[in-house]
Amino acid sequence: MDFGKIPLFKAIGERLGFLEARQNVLSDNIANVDTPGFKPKDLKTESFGNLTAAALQKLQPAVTDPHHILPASASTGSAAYPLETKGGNSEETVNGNSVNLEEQLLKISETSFDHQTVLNLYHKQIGLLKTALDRGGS
Amino acid sequence: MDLTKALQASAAGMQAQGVRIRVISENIANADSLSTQPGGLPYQRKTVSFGEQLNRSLGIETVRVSNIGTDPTPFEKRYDPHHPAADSNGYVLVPNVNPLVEMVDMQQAERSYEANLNVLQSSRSMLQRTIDLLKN
Repeated sequence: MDFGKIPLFKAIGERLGFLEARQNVLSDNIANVDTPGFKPKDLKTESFGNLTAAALQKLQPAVTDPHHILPASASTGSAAYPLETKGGNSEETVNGNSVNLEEQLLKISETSFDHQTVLNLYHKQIGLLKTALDRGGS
Repeated sequence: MDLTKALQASAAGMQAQGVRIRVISENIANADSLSTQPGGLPYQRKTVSFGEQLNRSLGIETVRVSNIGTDPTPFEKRYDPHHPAADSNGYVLVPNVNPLVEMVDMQQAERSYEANLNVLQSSRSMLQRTIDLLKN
């Protein structure tokens, strides 16, 4: 049985990947809290509507020969998450740095919280499967 | 694993703040270091600047100390004709270190270090919770 084919597990895996990538970007922002000219970055969050619209409109070229190369946009799996730079807010200091420590720490705790939620969801789902297998859910 | 990159980024931030603390302590330690020759220059305050560095092996931009320079603020003069470093007019040049500025800088470095440490702990617990999934 491939867990990746169960939609919920696939969604959980993708969510975890996104949260880990976001944690990377946010920790880089905090590390650069005193770097002159540094603008904080964050990952772009797509709305559900946009995602479904994109998924419905996308036409995939058919691979009829093993030598065919799929365009990068059509490849599935761990796609790079688009970055967006936020800057020029009222928090910008004289040296051009606009990292707001409180805002970044809030985002970090938000990411950590979401990560835990998704992991708990995964755990519960595994327990459910175990119950179905009559091994007793933990 | 993606989270190890977050750990590396935080570690780089802590390292950079550590260098900053070291330079600040040098400045404070040398706040009274005068010249030994008549009319000579005293200790000149050092400054730290940060910059970004692309870490190719990890594919992320980490922070690093880009330059340790000197503060060009002119030295103040103190009238002390009996001092060995006094010039022909009896003035001694004193270092351009302002303890107040150094203290504020130190506090800022400490806060930034703490923030990085908190992020490190947050990333670490995320990683730990993922590993703990194996327990059950």
